[in-house]
Amino acid sequence: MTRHIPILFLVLLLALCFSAGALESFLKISSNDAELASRFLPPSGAHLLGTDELGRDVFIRLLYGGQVSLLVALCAGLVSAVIGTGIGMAAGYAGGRWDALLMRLTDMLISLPALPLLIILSALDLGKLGIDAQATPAISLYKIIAIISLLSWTTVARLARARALSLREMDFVRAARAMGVSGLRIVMRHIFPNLLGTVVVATALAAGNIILLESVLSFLGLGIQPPLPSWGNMLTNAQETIWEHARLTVYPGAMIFVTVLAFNFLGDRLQLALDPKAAQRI
Amino acid sequence: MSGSLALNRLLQALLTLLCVSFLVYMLIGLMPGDPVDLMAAGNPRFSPEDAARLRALYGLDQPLPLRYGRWLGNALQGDLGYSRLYNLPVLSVLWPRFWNTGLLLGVSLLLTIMFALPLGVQSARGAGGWADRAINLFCLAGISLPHFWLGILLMSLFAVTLGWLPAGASLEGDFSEDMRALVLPVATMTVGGLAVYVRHLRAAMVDALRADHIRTARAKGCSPRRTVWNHAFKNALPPVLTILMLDLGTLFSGALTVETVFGFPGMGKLMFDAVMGNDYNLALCGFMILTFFVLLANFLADFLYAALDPRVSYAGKR
Repeated sequence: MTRHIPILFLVLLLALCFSAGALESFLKISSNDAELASRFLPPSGAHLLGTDELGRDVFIRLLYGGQVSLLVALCAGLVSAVIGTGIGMAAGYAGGRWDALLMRLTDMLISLPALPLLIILSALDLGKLGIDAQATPAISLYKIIAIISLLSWTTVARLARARALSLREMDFVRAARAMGVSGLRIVMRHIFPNLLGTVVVATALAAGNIILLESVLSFLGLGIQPPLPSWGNMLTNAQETIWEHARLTVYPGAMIFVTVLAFNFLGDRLQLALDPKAAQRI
Repeated sequence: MSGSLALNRLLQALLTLLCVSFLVYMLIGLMPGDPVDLMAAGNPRFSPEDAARLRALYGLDQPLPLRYGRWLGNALQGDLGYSRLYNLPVLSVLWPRFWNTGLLLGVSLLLTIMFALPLGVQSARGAGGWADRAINLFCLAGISLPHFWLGILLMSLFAVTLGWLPAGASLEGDFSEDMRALVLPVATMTVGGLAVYVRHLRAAMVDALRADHIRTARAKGCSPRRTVWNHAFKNALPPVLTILMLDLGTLFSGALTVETVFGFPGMGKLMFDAVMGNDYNLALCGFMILTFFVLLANFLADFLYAALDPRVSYAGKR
């Protein structure tokens, strides 16, 4: 039973976060309107976790922040999985020069200090890239998904490559090649299904990291922009009032911690399920 | 490690550095506003003609690749340009900050290793036992913990509630005050980084303890303590040290968050301030210097591995 806790938790969190709108109208509270008369209220029946520096309900804002974090984790995780699998498979199956080139590129990206690079990337002027920055209030969301995906595909790529390298030498792949099956078909029909498990594990572990990156960028004021709440930018506000209301720093951080922990547990569990021998070896 | 291979690796590292500098320089072209716009922003008497003249003076009207060539030429002669935010040459802004970050990283790395060694070794010795499981759980929690939140929690406990330590770490030059200010950032870095090293050390020790010579050592009656530390630990060390060297980029990332939380005057805080203050030359140079050290560490890691483990030889791979 205990091994299902992470996945149960994530499903519950997903359901709860995406019903934030419904809860808001049901409880007749607003997450965005400032009510200066009711700032820093302690937890009560009306406000489960109290209110913040603008009198907004902390509980509902946490749920909205969860929507953002989970959405970023899901989208950026998916994009990195696709990029990583593509590059990893191409390198592993093609081998030789292509392998060397692609893996050098991956190594280069891995060795760079990630957070400083993300900070520089997040300061980019979207207008100069031909994107209208005012088009939608969720633009900071898309931007963060894009730049995090750009950096987080490397682990998936390395694992997919290693797997493709060993699959390439297996008899069934050799047989297919001997029968004259085209390279693309071999990759899609024989290599890809066999490395999917590895990719899923790597993506689950990457999702945890993505949430950490998103939250730290939002905390620094370079990720999700207020008034759109995120666990990271809620902590920015909370740190400013740490001397008076230290309580507010606890909730968003605890949410990040528990969610990332769940993703990491999930990754470990999946790994064991895919490779039960690993459990005995260790 | 053979000479030609070392040369090969060195060339590779230099090429990477060149690529990175080019890419980052191109990124600067995509940053909001150029230096002249920023000068004009606070000055109502700044006419478009002035702007055009200044652009020509700074060479900003030329295409980016050409500007990059000039920047690179100057950089190779040790001139990295000026910081707009501080009105000083970039290097004289970066240098003191660089040492501060070095101090933060050095002290916390030392502490991390001190705590990681017994935990990792103990975990591997009793693999599968209750201590191992507890340590594993701790590690999983450790890698899931956002460093900046840990920093804020420590701050709210030790600075706000208990009042034992200062909340900020801005280093005023007074030795004992500065040491007190360093405690919380160092503690955050140490606790935050511990889990990763314990995991690596445990994996390496489990591998090392499974080797044949360990069984031989046990069979001939070698004490458990001696078996673990003299026979197994020696073999577990090279991979862990190598990972430590390869991990410098991650360490810098951790330092950046901790520095911004505590206002510690290090490289990370400086780069953050530079990006926030539109001082992109400073941000670029900071990033280049970080990348340089990360690549240097990667390069040295290869040597270190070969030097520590005589079984590893790169000669055959020529």
